Amino acid sequence: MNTVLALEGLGVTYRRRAGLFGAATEVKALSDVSLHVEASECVGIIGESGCGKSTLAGVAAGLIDAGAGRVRIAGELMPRQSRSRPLAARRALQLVFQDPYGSLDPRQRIGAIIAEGLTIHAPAGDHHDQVLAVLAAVGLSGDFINRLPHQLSGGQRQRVALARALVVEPRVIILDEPTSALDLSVQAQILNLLLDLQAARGLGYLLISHDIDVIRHLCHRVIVMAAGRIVEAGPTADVLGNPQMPYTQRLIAAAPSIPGLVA
Amino acid sequence: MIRRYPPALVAGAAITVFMIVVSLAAPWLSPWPPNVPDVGAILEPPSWRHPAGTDALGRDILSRILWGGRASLGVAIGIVALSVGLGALLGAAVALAGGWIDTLVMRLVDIALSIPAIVIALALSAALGPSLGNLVLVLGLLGVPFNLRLFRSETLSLRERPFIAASRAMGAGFAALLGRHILPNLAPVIVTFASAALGSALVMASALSFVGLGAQPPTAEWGAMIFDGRTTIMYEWWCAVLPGLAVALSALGFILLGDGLRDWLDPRHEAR
Repeated sequence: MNTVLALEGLGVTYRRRAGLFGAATEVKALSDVSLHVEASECVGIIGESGCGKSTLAGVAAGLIDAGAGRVRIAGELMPRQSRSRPLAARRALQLVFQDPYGSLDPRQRIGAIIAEGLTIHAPAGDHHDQVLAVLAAVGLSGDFINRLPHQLSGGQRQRVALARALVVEPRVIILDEPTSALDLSVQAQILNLLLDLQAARGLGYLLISHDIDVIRHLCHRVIVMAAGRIVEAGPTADVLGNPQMPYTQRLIAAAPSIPGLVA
Repeated sequence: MIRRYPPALVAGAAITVFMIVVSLAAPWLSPWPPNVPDVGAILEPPSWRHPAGTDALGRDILSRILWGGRASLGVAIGIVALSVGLGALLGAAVALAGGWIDTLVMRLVDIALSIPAIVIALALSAALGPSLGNLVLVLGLLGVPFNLRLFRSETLSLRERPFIAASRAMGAGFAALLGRHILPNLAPVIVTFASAALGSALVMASALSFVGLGAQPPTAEWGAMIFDGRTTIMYEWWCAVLPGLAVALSALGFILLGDGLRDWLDPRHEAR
């Protein structure tokens, strides 16, 4: 097995103070979360809003400090302080956000947005050819280099976000609701692109979504989260086809299903 | 698609460009030398020879207003460059750094803002010796805390945008985040705010020159000219009122320009 991302007993607690003199209350955003993602594997996470999915992505991506537990990227143990994470690990794990409008700097051209990772991780040399190659890999032509984000459609923007992640040749990508802001027909294109890229590059995906159809289409295994904990986990067919926990049953029953759209 | 410019932007830009061009062209536009007294033409009312009249030393008011624009507008631009420039840079850096640096600097800013700035400006200008350079330094630095706080809060909301998180996750360091993402995205706010701040800087600088802490005689400067003309304002009104109009018109231009830029650069106004 080739584990690209492993979370072991992860916990994050936020302390909130009600006003200046109020009592501090603790909110457990994550408690005792363990999961692993292998190369060429897609692991899905489903759960309601506020269940800790995004905190999980933040800790794994080195944006939020881990309060407890361990993060391993490609076998290497990460420091708990997110800012002391080594650059090589930041390169190995990439993040694609839900909102393709907000995740691209509105004042940078597409070429500069994609090349940013290269300027950080491989400062020497000309990045032009690599940017062109990765644009082609996500199905965009070379003239996109000089455009600005607001000149692109939502689907094109999400392809750019994907290209920015791919250009540094990561081992694992966290996809935080990568299609929920897109039209249905564009969603299917992006999902198929994700599958193609995974097959070609052996990427591990950690896919966060509340769209059961997307999970079913892409994921080998599924993890169900509620209130910062994992409540159910297993192969996709088992969890979605025969959910054991009442929470999972409600979640699946509540999802609107459009048969035949992604299958 | 044709983008309609807000009327305030057009008017403000027209006034501002006019005042700056006319001031820069003072050596060629002035009918008389600005600082040469003429005892044969003291306190003359506006006429064809002296379109804006003459002052108590017989100097041509129009020429002095044109030359005075260089001093007054130059000082205002210097003050704003210092206060908004430094304030924006420090405010963005402090907001991005966060933690104890942010807390410490903001407490210092609170202290600085609780001190009456005009009193400090008077004391410092007097202590450093009156000159236009010291005026820029004192008023520029006194404006830093206010701008620091303003641009800190702008940066705090910018910092939470997903593209900053994307850059941080990629491993971008402090300088790269600040230079590549934060400052370019602050630029429209900086330009807008600087333009509006020029108006108040101009008035403030003229006020300090009026009390003798800015331009020194015989340098032509609007505030100093108003001061020179104050004793005769009831009779020979042109000595004080016409430079005052130049201050008012320029300040109006800057403020309209700032308002117009704010409307024009704000994406929420684009739909109209």
